Amino acid sequence: MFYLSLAFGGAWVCHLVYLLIIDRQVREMTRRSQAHGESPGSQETQ
Amino acid sequence: MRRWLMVLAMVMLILSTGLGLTKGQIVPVQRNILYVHVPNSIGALLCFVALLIASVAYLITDRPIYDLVAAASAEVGTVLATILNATGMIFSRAEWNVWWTPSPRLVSSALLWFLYVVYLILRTSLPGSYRRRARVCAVFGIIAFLDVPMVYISARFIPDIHRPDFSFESAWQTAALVLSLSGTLVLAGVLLWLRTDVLRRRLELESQLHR
Repeated sequence: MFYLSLAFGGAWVCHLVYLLIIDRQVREMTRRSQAHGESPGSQETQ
Repeated sequence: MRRWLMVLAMVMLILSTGLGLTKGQIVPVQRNILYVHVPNSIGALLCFVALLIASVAYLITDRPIYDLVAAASAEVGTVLATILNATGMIFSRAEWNVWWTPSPRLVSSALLWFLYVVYLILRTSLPGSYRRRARVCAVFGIIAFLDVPMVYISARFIPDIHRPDFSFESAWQTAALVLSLSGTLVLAGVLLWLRTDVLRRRLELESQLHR
């Protein structure tokens, strides 16, 4: 059971951490795009 | 749209975990690791197929979008390949009492992970123009892909501790795996989409700044 929990937990943590990293990058790019006056149509992120 | 797909993927993954650990449970218990190991391995291999197609398309058309898709595919594929190798090692420890054994499939999977880590390092460290870096990475991506068929066929044609295939005893087990596979593939697709978008916008901003 320990190894099963380790495998499932590890996989979920990997997915979530990568998801959070990309989410931060999307927010950062949106902020930078707005700062450079990009047209509103190309700011849709999610 | 992407947010809803993300929620759908999470729901499918949670449901498959619940189903796999209750009605679809495999005995002995450590074999349930395949509900996370198999979907991530298929997802990783599909990401590397996407990387190959995008690299070939970039070399033919010279359009930056294909290079960006290749970069995003390599990143998402490396994350999935990390999970593939980690869960494989955990399974190996639980089932055969060793963390690692030099079997053909295990070695080719580890090699695949290293090749794509090298690809990602190349992308960030190669000197020169964007175009030169993209072309070198595209060629490396195509060469690195040669290991993908090796991973697939190694356990089928060479004697290996790793089983080449598996069969289920109940429909619940099949349903849990299909659900887990669908959730992982939707999640990988959305991550690929988001990452390509981030890279595209970064490239646009950089070209605006250099103008």
